[in-house]
Amino acid sequence: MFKSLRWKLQFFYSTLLATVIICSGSVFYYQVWRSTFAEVDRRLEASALYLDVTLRSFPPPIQQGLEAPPMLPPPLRPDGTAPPPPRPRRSKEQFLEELRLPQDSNFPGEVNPDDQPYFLVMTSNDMLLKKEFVPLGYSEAQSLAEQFYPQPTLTMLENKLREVRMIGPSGSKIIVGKSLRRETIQLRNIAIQFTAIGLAFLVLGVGISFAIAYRMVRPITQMSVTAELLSEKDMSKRLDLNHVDSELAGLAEVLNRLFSRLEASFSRQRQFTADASHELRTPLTVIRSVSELALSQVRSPTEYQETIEVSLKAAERMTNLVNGLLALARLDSSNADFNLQLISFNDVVSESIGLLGAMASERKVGLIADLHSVQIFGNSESLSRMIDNLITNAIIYNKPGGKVFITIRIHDDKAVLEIKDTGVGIPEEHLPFLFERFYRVDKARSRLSGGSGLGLAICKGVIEKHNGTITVQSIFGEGTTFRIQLPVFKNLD
Amino acid sequence: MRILVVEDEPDLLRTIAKALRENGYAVDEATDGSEGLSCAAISRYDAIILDMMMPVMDGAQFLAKFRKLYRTPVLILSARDTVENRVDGLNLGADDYLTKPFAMVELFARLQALIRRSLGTGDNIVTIQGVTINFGSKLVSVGRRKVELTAKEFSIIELLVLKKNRVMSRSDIFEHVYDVNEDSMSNLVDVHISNIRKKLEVDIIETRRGLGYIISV
Repeated sequence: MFKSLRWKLQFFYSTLLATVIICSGSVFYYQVWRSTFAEVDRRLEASALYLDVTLRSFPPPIQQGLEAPPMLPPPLRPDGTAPPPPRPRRSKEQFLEELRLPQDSNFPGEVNPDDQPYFLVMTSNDMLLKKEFVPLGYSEAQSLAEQFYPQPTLTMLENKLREVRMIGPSGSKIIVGKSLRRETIQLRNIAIQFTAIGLAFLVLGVGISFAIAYRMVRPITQMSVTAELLSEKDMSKRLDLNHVDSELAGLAEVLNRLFSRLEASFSRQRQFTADASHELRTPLTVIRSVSELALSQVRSPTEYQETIEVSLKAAERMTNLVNGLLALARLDSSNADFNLQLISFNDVVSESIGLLGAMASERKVGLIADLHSVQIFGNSESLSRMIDNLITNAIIYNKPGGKVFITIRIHDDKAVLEIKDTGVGIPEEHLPFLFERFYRVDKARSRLSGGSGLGLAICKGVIEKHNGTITVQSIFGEGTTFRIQLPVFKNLD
Repeated sequence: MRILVVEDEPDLLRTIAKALRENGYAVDEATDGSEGLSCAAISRYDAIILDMMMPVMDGAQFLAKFRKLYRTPVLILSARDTVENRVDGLNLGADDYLTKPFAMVELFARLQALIRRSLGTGDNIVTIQGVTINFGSKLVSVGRRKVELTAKEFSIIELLVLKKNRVMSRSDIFEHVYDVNEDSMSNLVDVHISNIRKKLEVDIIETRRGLGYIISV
């Protein structure tokens, strides 16, 4: 499963998505958490300062040497309404009296249902003067008080209570606190909601990533399905380039080209097998038929002789063909049995000319040679067979009284052998296929002359084994030129 | 029976033609499809033996053109032996397909079967008025007595039996029994007929004066 590209994609998508959801959820939750507590703190501080300022508004001034704070303008309520008119001035004793608390109260341990902030005012020797639930707010008091007093210290009590403690006038202590029960519940609900939404997103994302991975992988699956449909019997199927993404289109195109090459190669192979089988069957058929005919009744010696002659001719044709096929098979196989040696190319060519002189004069064809001496790395046996073949062709397909020009020259470190005849020539449409196996320009005629149809294919194979090239030029009715280029041996010493 | 052999391999063409002639067929030879078409335009054949891979015009091209004009049975004789090749050959309009190398006897048997079918006779052995003619073994007997007929004589009686109840003129018979190499000799057919009558001792061949000969059942 983890070998599958699709599952890998899916896995990466899901992991990435989960990470993003968890991180962003955490950050968001932290922000909410922080702003909740900041709001609580802000309100508590404001309340404490308000309390402090209110206490200080009683004479005498709280700290010696400092000027009494100016009379406060009545701070506005958070809702913008004017505060209630200040109560008539009371003495400090009166105020403290108002603040006195019943001693049996377990305040601040008890938590009132609405989580209202509370305040306590204590004397310097920790005597509780006043406790009360107060409304939140009054930031104006905070800004004013900040001008006279150091920052209040904030205390967090086990996440359940939040309190502001500060030193009030005359060394008294002011504690303003609030239970965090409601905020905690709120935060917990928010956390649950976040988790639920995150999980929902994760499931959705995984589903989408499943679909995306499927869509991404589908063309590849289709490609493999198409490729699997191709077989030796039917190579005609191709990948559909219209419905493939651009990245895969390149691959599909490459594969299509590969398929085309394979198809061409298969069809060449099939054609070759069919041709070879045809070429082998034909003489075999001749042998069988003439033998059957000869044996069907008593014949005259002349008739038997004819039969044997026809059989022998067919057998020779088969021998030629088998030799040709073996030569091709050897050329196709490897370099192992192709022994290249330093040889004199012009000697090989002039030897062939010498051997074929009789045949040429019999057909009244003149052989004209101009051979520059050149050394090459080659296999003299296969080269001379090939040159025999080419010169024989040039003689056979010549006109009576025609000529064959055979030249070797050196051009760009290449030995260039040209065999040029003044013969019948080859129609242009045949030239591209001339070196293909079993390709015949004139099927009837070449078969009569005993050709196997493999000669030029073998020539090409031999030349390619020598890292050379063979080309042909021909004008129909005027003659044909074969040009062979072979690398010249260079003495590096 | 007159056969056209279209084959580009000269030795094979000569051999098949010779074997057919020795078996009493009249044979014309063509070395490629276009030559075959011209032969078909001149003479009527009872069957055609056709090679597929030929220069100039191959078997497929020949069949395509030939089938538009004639219904003569065609037997393909080809070195191509795959199922696809056979199917293609038959779809092109051939009636039978034989792959090379082949046995002569099989070629003859298939040829005989093709001719028989094209003339609407399914049976290989026909008996008319006590004369039994076996097309397969090319034997003729009257009652239990075997009659020795020459190849030409047999092909004449074969033609008359296969085309029974139809009057065959001298030239019809000549055309079916002799190929283009033979010079037309007007009384050759009459000579053969009288020889057949002598050998059979039963006169199943009627003469229609001025028209020709007939075997009626």
